[in-house]
Amino acid sequence: MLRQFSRSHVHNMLLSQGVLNLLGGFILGALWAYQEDFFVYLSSASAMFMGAFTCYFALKRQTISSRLSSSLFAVNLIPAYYGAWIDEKLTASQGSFWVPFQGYELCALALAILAPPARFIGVFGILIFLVMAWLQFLSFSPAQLDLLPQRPMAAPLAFTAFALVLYFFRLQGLKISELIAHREAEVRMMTKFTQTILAIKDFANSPLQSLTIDAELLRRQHPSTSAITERMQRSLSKLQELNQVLDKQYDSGIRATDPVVLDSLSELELARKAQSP
Amino acid sequence: MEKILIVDDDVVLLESMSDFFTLLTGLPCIVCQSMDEVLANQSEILGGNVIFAVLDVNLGLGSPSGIDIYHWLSKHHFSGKCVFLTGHAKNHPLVAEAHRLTGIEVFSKPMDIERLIFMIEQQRTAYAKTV
Repeated sequence: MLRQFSRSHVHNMLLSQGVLNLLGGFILGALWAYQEDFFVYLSSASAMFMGAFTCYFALKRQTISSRLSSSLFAVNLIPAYYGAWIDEKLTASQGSFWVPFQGYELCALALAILAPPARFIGVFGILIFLVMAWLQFLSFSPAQLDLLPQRPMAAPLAFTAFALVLYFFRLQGLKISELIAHREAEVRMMTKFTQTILAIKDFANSPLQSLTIDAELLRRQHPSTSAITERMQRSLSKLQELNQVLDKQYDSGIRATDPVVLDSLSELELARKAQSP
Repeated sequence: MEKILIVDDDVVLLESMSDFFTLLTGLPCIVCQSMDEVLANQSEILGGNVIFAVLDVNLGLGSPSGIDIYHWLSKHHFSGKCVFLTGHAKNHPLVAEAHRLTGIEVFSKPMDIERLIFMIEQQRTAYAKTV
């Protein structure tokens, strides 16, 4: 199940991928343009176009859902796969010794750092680089195979494993950040709630005191009204009970650094405005 | 004759307390809503007959507080007993300041008014001994 994560994470992820695609496409084109190969131009142009579009999209959109961002991320991998394949193919065709599959290894690491929390995109995205390296290895001619170092698939395998571990560690970190953010939001909400309770309580204290005194005055001055004053005092006791409950709520929610309610009416008005659509 | 000073910005509560204290103790009350009214009545307040002062801590945002009135009374050698009343929470700056003053009790509204009557009677007895 795809999870929502903060706007900054989503936008940063897409922006970073966009910049990498833009840069990667440019470097690929610059390195291999002399080959005058249509597929080089295609790969370079597609990577640069997708990179530019992704950057623009990430900068322009205020909100991007996790589903949309993950889908866009997955689509952006296509020029990266294609570019890595083309680069490896052209390097292999040079006829000299080379360190193979570096592009795939670099892309796997980048994916570990940037991939969204949608695990199937992160895991398969990284594994595809290993599969592509292996397929490309199978496509090499005997002459090309002779130019390779010993155990040419060992490095891609190691990099893939490392990338997967890095990816999962990163996801764990994101999860913890999400929990912290959620907890902080809860604390802010409780503080605001406590302040509202405090404002209500502060506002009601003086009238409650006045009613208590007046009920007692009435009872003493007019004993014939004792039945009525007794009812009043019972009602007032309930209000005092409510006051004590609010006191406990306040005491459980207050912290030394919490802001103070200086003006009850203003505080209640603020709370009302915050609630209204 | 001894008197009681009551300072509170809530006029309804002020009248209730005044009527109640007068009924139970027989002592007349000087009621004030603000520092200005206290100053307007200063000759009566500092005349020597006021034995007890009930001061609401918060007299309105931006206005001199009950604590300012207490300091003014102390400065003018007020000999009566002072207590503070407050409807605000402990972390309110004025309430915290009131608690820091030594020898002054701070009561939260709604308080047990009988206790206040008891304290007034005690002060009345002590005052009678000094006269």
